[in-house]
Amino acid sequence: MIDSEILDAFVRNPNLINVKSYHSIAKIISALEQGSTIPQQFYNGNADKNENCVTVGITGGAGAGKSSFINKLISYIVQAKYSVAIVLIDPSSKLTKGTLLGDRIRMNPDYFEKNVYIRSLSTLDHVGNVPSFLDDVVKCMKIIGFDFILIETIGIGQSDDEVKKYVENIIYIPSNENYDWIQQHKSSIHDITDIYFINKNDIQDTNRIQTSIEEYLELMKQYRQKTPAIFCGNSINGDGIVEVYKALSKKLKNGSNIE
Amino acid sequence: MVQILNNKNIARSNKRILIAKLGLDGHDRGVKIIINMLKDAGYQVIYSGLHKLPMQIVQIGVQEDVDAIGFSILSGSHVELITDFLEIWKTFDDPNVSIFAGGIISKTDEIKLKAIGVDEVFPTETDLKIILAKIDDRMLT
Repeated sequence: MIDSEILDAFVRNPNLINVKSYHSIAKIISALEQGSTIPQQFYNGNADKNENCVTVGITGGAGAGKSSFINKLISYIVQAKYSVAIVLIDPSSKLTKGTLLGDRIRMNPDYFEKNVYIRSLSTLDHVGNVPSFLDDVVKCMKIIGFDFILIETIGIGQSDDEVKKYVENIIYIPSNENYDWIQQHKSSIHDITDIYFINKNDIQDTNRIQTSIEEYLELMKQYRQKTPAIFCGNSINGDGIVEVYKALSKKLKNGSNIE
Repeated sequence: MVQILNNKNIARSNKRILIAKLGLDGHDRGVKIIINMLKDAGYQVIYSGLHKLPMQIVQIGVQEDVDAIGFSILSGSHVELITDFLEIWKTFDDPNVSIFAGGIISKTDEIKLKAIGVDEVFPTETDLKIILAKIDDRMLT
């Protein structure tokens, strides 16, 4: 059961997000995981608060650098004194039901004592690539009042675009070094991507990949309202990630809040 | 080996265990075996990564709302590190969380650890089946 008093306290006081309150946030998410729903009263009156929240889905193949990218992205969010909730999703085994939630090892532990709430979730029995209760988790994070909500999906293939239902921005990190024409045209992930981040500029030719994505986007232009942005960089040393952060934070009242 | 899915796996799949490496200790062969064993048994296993401070493990445990925390320590400083950890952990207060410890732990240290609040101690060469059975005892009741 979700304690509506606790949720109400977060609604009344946005400054409540800190190390001391993570215990109650964790309990709320566990309740959602076990099948509870958010009390109806919280769907009203929080509209403007929800608008001031940037929701981002980060997706890409296994080993593309999603977790490391998030790790660097958090550093700018922390620097700008925004609060952030991160949901890291890993798949559960179909054979044994077990899950290894290992994305956390990429996160810098210095963040654990700041306004950064990190939660790993298993897909459990859900057929798709996000847990069935993710919708409620995102809504709940919005009600609590986080400025940023980042969702890292499991490593995806060509069509796993379910996360788009829950977030406004999708960052796609293409992973395959043999990035060729047919792969691009088969994949439906391009249809939902808002920002491309071409990672690993130290070991692969990011310009070549960028050109090939641009060519593809040019072909698909007539079907889109907005052309996605493309950034190149490196998740390990942080090249290019500040540009992604600035693009995401445009929506917030105080903007990026860093020089 | 294909494991046959049984009712126990389904019961375990809602339980979250944090497996943690504390302090300056880079020996992670054992912890990887434990992680795989628990995952194959059906648990949700969260791995902290190497070289974490007691405060950081407390934060991971709190944020992830875990049902148990297991430490793998092969550096010899298990008593000091776990004492530090439990001191901070108690301020966040969750008495239902079980605490396990494994590693190169002598009989005398095992008694010390159990006295400060560790539920089960698994010295090196403990059979994996025994580890799983004892963890199940604490988690599935």
